[in-house]
Amino acid sequence: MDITERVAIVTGSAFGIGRGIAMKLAEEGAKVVINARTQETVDETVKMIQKTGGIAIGVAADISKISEVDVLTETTIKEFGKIDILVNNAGNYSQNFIVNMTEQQWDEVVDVHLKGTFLCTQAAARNMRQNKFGRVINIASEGTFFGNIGMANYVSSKAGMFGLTLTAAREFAHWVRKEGCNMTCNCLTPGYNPSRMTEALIPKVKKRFEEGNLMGRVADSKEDIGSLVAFLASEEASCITAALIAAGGGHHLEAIHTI
Amino acid sequence: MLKGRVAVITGSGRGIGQGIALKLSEKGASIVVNDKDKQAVDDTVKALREKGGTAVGVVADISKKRDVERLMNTAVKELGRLDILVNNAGEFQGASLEEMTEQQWDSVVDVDLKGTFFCTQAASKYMREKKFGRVINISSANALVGEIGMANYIAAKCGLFGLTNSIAKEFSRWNKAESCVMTCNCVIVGYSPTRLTEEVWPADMRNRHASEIPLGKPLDPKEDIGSAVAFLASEKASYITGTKIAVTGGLYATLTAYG
Repeated sequence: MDITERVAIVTGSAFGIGRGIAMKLAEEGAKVVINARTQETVDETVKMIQKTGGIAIGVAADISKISEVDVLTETTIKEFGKIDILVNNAGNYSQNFIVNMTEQQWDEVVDVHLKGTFLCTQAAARNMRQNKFGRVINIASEGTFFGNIGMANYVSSKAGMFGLTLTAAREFAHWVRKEGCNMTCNCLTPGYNPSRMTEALIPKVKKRFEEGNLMGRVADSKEDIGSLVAFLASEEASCITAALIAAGGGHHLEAIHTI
Repeated sequence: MLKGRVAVITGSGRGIGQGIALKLSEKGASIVVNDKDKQAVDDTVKALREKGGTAVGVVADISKKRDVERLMNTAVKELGRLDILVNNAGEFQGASLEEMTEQQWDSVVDVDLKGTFFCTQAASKYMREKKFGRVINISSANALVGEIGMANYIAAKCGLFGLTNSIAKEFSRWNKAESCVMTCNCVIVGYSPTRLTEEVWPADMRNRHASEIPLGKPLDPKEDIGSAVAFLASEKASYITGTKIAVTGGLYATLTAYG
């Protein structure tokens, strides 16, 4: 599972799952680019990684804006020379019932999850293709497959990420066959990971999420999700592409699929 | 990554099973090699020992409960424990629906599906004792789309999906009540040239499968399939259970999602 000398961008990595993934990739030897919208939160994670001997820089950028995505990828290439791994993790919530959801609520969520994933993948893939190596790993959500009340914007974007994964995998496969690239794109669906974003959940829902898995514990962002990302990012996973991998401790078998 | 672990790999005298055995051994596990054919068992044991690995061979027909019990008991007697079970043994006998005999149906389903059940049943009691277990079922990409002349094989390989989910759920009771860390997952394998495919599959089917792989090359039993199995067998995958992972070079990967 060697990712030494690889350069990884993890979007939305100042907190939660993204931070866990960034810390694991750094621990496994990758140079990591931490991203979030504000410099202050980015700096905190960069410091945490540097303290444990890892290599990291921080780039504050709103990935829903193409000009800021350009800053993110250009800074990465300037500082570390290339982009090998892109983890599309950044996400936000803005809950409301469909009948009440404003256009602004719809846009602010879809623009980050879906358009942001597209913009980051587009910019990173150009560099990956040049270097003939690339891993794009999209972090979706198990909610995608059973819907969530009050989260039409979120669930639609996460389901959209799956379509984007399949299309990127196909486009990359073309370069694999024609140009000798080693490029894959896969999608993970974590279950419930306690994070800053889930603090807002009402206690009843939180409890159901905490217990809704087969392992008898909630996930650890770094050890559980991060390790899977590190595996998919490694050369050992060169033949895994277009895969959707459930990484929620069996949450997908426990969650209520009926409505 | 797997130091101190003991792995039983059914059908590891040749092909994919042998590749998995070589990779798990390279990662530090002691291996119990199993096959119906003594020569094949001896060959793999020799190959593992030549590379400095620890290996024990057991000739057994996994469709027979008594053979399976002897296999698992021998593993524990010789190597002290049983941590990892890779249900890989597969049997293949092609015939169209109208032509398929009861014997053809039984001989395939008995190995591919019933054998997996027997092995898991016998191995899981040892895993439960040590509070650690990994069951990894090897299914086939064909199972996702069906195949002419292979009703027995496809039905059995599809059966493994349901068996995987049910095992994951039964293990979850021990995870929750007895602090076990036991998972069960399914690796869906794409086209990999082995004795089974080269000798038994018709040439046009082989060629079609090879040409359909999005990443353009057949899978390497050790590096591609073995690496994915090794990851799932490791502590790093402690929160992945009831999951299907497609190691297919992109082939039909999109269909693995849920269910």
